[in-house]
Amino acid sequence: MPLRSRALAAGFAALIVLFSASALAQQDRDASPNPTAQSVQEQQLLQELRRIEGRVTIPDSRAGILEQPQGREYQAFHERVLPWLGAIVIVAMLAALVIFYLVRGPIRLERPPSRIKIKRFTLLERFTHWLTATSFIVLAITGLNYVFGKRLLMPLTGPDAFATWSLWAKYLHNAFAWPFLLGLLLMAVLWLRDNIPDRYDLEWLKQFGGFLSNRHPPARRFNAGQKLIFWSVVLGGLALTASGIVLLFPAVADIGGIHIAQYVHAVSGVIMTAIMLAHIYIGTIGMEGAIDAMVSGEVDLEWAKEHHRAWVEEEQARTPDGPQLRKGAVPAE
Amino acid sequence: MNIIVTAVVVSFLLAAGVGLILSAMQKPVYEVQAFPTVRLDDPGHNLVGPDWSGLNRVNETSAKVSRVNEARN
Repeated sequence: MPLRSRALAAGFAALIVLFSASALAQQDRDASPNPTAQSVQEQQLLQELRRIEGRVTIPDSRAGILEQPQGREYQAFHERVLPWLGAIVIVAMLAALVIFYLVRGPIRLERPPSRIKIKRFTLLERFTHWLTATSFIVLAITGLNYVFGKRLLMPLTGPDAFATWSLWAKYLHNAFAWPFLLGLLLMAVLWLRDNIPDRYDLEWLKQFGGFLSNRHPPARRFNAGQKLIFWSVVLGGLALTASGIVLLFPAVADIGGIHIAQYVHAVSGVIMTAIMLAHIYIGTIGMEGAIDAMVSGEVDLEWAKEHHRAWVEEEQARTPDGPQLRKGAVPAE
Repeated sequence: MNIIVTAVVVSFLLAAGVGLILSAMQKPVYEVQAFPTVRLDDPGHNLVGPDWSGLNRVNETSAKVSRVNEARN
């Protein structure tokens, strides 16, 4: 082999050795132990401890909680379960009311009005009803904004207008909770005695209040349907109030308590909104003459006899001279 | 009808009164939790993320980009 060829061969060999050494060195560097790869991973900590937290120097020790599974569960509820649950409950109730109206129509008096009025609600009772109703309507609108606002309203208004409205909705929600609580307590005191279940209720429920058959089962001052509304409002209202106070003053609970309050508040609010839709329907377009009871406080005697026969008999028995009736009016029977 | 108007007005007055009391009582967390050795900044206005999901996806995305760049370097 000539000298030149030998020199070239030696050069190639040297290059190969050089590249191989470089590659081996790189391989060694890649294989060197990685100290952070061997350390405990975030997911392992979370599984073992159920919570990743540290220490903070501010008074609120809860700020030291970095990660916990309940937060993810709550977010899944708030972002997926609650909107679907709320939509199904409210849309189902609206659909049921529309179908009922189309099939049955308004419940009208079977006989002509007697033109004799009977006192049904006092001034204080009507004030309490409308105080609670006004507050509830504001609370329902602003509360539903939490669940549906960003999905239904924000695409229409844009994020800036929606943010401004939501801020005011939060203020309104926090403020109107208190007149609602006052109305709730007054309502419970005023109507508790008349809403205790009695012997007429089962029959009323069996006949579905006569809404489908045009037969009117007897009822005292409140029928079984109204009693269900009353207890829904009182118990649901108490659940909303208790959970709402925790949310308004979160220092009273730990993070788990706040999540429970959120679940209770959201579910109670959605269910109560659906129940109130039924109440508003039957109190306005669903039943002829029903709205008079809460506006003027008086109803036609014929209406009272059809819907609250036992109550009228009790009232007339209690006041045989008819002080319930207007001056100069005569009882129908 | 008067009783409805009265109840509506009273509910708004009560709400306004309570609103004033609450706003006087309550302070932002960055004021309450701050003391001489700890200073907290105003956290800003939109804490729920651009799509109001509670996830700040913009920061998540930028953090991912940073991690990829670090790995490349």
